[in-house]
Amino acid sequence: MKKVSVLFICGMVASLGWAGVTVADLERMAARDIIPEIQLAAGYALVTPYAAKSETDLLNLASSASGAGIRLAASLALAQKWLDAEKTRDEWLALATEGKTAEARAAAVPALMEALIGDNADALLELAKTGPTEEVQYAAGKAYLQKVRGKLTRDMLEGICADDTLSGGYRKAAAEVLAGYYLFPKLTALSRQELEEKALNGANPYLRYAAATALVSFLVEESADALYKKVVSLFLDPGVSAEYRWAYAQALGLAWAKGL
Amino acid sequence: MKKLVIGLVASAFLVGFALAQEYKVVPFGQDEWKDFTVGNYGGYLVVGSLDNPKTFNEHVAQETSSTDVTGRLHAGLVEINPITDLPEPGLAKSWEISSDGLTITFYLRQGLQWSDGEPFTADDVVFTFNGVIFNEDVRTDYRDVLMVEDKLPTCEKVDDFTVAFTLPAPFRPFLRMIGGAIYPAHKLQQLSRVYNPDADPEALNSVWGVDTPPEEIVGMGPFKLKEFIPDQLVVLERNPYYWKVDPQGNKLPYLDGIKFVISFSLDTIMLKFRNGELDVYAPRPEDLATLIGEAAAKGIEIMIDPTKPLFGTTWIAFNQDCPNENLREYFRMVEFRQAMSHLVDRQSMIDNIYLGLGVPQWSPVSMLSPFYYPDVPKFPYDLERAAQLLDQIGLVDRNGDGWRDFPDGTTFEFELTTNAGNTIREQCCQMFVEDAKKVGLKVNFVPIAFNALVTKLLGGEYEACLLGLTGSSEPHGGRNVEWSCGGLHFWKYSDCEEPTPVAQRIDELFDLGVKTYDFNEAYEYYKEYQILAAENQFLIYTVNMLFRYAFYKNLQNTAAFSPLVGALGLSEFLWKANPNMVGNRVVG
Repeated sequence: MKKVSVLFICGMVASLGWAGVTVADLERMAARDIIPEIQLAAGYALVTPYAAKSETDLLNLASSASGAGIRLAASLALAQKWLDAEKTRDEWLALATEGKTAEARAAAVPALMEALIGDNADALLELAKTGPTEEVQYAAGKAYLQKVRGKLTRDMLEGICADDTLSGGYRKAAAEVLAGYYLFPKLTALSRQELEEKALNGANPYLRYAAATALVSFLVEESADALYKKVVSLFLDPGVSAEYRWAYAQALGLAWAKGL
Repeated sequence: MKKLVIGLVASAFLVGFALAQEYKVVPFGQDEWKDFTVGNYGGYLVVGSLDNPKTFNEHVAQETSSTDVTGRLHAGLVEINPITDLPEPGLAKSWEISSDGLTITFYLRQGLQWSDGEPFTADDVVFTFNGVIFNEDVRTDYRDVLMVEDKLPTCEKVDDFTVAFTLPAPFRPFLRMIGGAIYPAHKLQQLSRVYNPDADPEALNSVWGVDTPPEEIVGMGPFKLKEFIPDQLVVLERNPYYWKVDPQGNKLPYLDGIKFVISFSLDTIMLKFRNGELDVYAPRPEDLATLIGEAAAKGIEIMIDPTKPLFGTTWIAFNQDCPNENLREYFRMVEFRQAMSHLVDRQSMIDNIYLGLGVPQWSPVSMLSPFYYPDVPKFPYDLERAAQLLDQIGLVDRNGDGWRDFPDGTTFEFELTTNAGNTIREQCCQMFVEDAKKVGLKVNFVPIAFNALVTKLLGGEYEACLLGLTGSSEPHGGRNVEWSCGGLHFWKYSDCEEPTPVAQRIDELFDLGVKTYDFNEAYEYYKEYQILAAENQFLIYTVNMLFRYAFYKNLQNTAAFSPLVGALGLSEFLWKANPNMVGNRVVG
């Protein structure tokens, strides 16, 4: 039954892909596509169209929309809008701590990073390790890792990702920086095949996420149709890691966004 | 019928009007502009700035937080092509050089207007040079670069659209230097004591301060000042009277304006770029992994172009006048210096120390200079050849201890230094020491503080050192290094008293190169100089760091971003695919 539905949806959206997806198509997929990664992909593609929505509408959507893709799009669009908002550091911390959903809290992360970047590295590291939510840890972690970027190495970042005693937000921030070290410098950069392998079989979710993030830089070269087919085929293969699926979903979202 | 007549009259009037205005057409799609496209109007370029501007007066501005702004407000007679780096017509549509090379006559574009709509004429040019730049009341560094044999040229009006400069001696770089900002006589003439003996001597230094109403600041540049909010923002807007057009006749610039977001922290500027609040960012090497990791998701392009190294050179110098007479004898042998070049593993330095962000340097002229000659003799990494050359000059291991010796049997060894704390240079030195060891050459690496190193270098008290020099497009800028009596001729100050034939020839070539206005002729002189410098390895060049630039892909006509002009130098040609976006964010 599941396969039949998927094939039906696949046929429908593939033809949409050839014809060019519309915002309405994306909203439909973001809200209720049977494949979670298609919801996410549609969410990534909706960020720019959602920029026209009001702050209140976006916060409501990020906090309570039923589709994960809609919450994601609203969260990312709200994050961009909030960069122009005048709020205090405490207000950003409160938003990243008390938001109703992960997406609502995540919307405060970029602005919170800017509020935190003036702090000293030790204070940032402490907040990255012990912040009250994963979003606060992540924002502090990203700010900290930017601050100390001249001293980072791939080994150090892999160590953070692998350390179960550290906070999830900090490890996620480290994974995103590690993605850059998987791509640069050129002499030691991993190939697409190596990244695929790590994204599929890395030792833990953060190491897989790092490789998946780096993998996106290769996947964005592919067409929306090819990416769509891959996302659907991955859905039919339950053994594939969530991070690997996410990489293809994000690349598909970026491809759809480009075609809008 | 009546309507048709009116239409024809209107067209004729417009065509006539357009012909009267001698706009400069930028040939996008052709020659060096082949990667440029005709754009759409709209949007702001948003860039970060590390400080407030201190003045909007270009001729007294010194810091980049001011000159980044003022450089967009003004224009000069001659401009430097941002791609070829060669002088070409600016406000002057052409120029003529007298047969003796002493008089340069500039013919101005006619029908141009200042940003306030007033007409631009030769009076503005003559006022700018005689009333401002050559005026001793004005504290401008620009006056110094126009000096030829310690004298200033003279500037005279020939007619309303012609001015003539007379030089004390022929001086080719004059054409490169003469592109300074032209100021509006109608706004500023009364502030100059050359024109108004009652004027305050300080008036031209303090005019156009940061509290000046924007409409008072008038220029011929692509943008004009709209707003300055201290500690926050400088906003420039399009100059509607700008005098350049694209091949379709659209007036430049395409952008509505430029916003300089002021932040006093590089960390904040980088973060604002990552968050999509800035369109462009000049990353340092340590920024790259972070940016590259998120580039695909955010639509960031990171330009690392092996054809665009930074200006400046890094080299190893052997002091041919060093206090140790035994070493001096060998340091003066060209075979020894060529052997030392064969010990420099430039590719490993690039791969392992510069993280791939470098290219080998072989010539004293900066690689982006139009005078750069790429095919100079090269002495690349080759340990075997290095050993052969050392054997040839009698530096062999005489006692079997593994180190090469002087003829008297003592170990041949020298001290190599660099400025302590510069990790790239320290690692390059260490790599050189290891490679030297492989051919039995003992090199003792001793990093010292920068100021102490400079003292040793200029005092002729070092043996060998790895250091760098700044560079520019104009080889004449290196005359203080290459000239046998130059203040920075630190590898052999004795050339001043006893110049070798090669040193004498290089002196001649610099004199010849500066006196001809013919680029091709000058190129031949500087080519010969580069060949001589490379053959003789006076300085052993190592690696040149590459230019890096990051920008959001929404920005168009970015292909020519380079160390010559950065991004701002091309701002009159930039456009945005989506004018409502800054970075990757929709705004407004």
